[in-house]
Amino acid sequence: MENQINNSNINSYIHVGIGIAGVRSYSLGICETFTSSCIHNYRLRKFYRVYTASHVNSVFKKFLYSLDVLNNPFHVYKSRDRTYYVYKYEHNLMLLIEHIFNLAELIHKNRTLRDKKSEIVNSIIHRCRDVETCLDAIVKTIIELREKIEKRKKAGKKALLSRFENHDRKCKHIIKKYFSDLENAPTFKVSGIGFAECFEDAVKVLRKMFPNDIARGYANSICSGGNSIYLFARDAIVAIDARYDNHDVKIFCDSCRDTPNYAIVKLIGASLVDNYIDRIDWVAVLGYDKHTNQIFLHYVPRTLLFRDVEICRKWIMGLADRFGNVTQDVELIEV
Amino acid sequence: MSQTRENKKIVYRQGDVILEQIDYNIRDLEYYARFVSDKLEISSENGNKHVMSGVKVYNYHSRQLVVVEKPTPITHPQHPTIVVTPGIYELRFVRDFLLNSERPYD
Repeated sequence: MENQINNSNINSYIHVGIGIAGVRSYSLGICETFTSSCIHNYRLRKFYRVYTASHVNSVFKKFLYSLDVLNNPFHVYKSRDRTYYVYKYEHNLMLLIEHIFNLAELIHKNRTLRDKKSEIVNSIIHRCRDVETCLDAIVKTIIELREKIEKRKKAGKKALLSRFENHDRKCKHIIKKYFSDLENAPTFKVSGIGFAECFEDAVKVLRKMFPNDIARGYANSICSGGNSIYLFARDAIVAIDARYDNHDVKIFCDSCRDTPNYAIVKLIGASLVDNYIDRIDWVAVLGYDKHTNQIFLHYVPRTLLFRDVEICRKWIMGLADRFGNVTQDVELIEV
Repeated sequence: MSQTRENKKIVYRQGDVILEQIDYNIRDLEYYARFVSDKLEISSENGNKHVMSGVKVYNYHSRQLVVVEKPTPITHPQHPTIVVTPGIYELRFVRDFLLNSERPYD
């Protein structure tokens, strides 16, 4: 099969279009002609177009200026804000160019790698003598980087789990004192097959606690791909299980506060895979109003994951933005 | 009208009801906003109400503004009373990320 593809490309040309970063990133095509007519007339055999930031362009240009094989294109032309470099088709050359773009995208997506971009690219270029050695070096580097990223991700997920478990212990006394039914909250399973079924089931449960529009609002959110277990509090705490697979969901208590007016705890709903935090599903503030003797629960943006419960409370009151920055200096008088 | 204490904006919260002091010209408000009532009443689902008498309530686009001309208490059967100092306030409620909206709950 591969030979057939190779044979059909013998008289073809690789067109590499490098454009303005962020607007037109790159296009990679195999054409039967070396002129711009193939791009204009869309007589392309292959066409890749990905819009990313400046990293794709800068990484390719670094290879372009450093490797003889890339620095001597068969033809160069400009078209639609892109400079196209045309090379005679060679299977390994095509693979090399594709891997350069793969590397650039990998660097673009990872902040740590972005800081070491020059170091990574230079180390590959240093090992390049011809297309084959260059291809070998770039493939090995990509594999190494992906392994490193995977290791770092696992370590991060483990650290996150440790943090949540440690903080969870610190707030146990407040949970026990004010929200003793949290651990044994009745759970209602809603259909996870489709949105309509899930919505209908969830509204049925939520209507017993909230007015119709609020019940529908919550149901809409938890059934729109929520795939988690959500808590709701009114006179009592109930849980709605809107999962459409059977992954583990654990609820952690991250920070808490007890004042003469209220007691609040920040809750985090997280999906676990192999005992690691896989995804943060939601962040919420569960509270007890000591004047009205009523419990309440409000969801806050997940961007407040690492912020103190008091900042989350300020977001609920509209006094902090979704990153936890207190937007204005105010004197808060509350009961 | 007095604006702030120590140049800070004052925000009052009684349960889920929030009154946030805003900088606004009273004459503009009287001209551009629609006068609604001389009493602020916010009903809760349990039948209780947050009440402020002797204030002017305006609708200004989608915002509800309350003009307090003299120190006025805001009362609720279940919450302690707070005395609101003179100023122009925007009426808001607590918000919930899953609902993407503000409204009273209690």
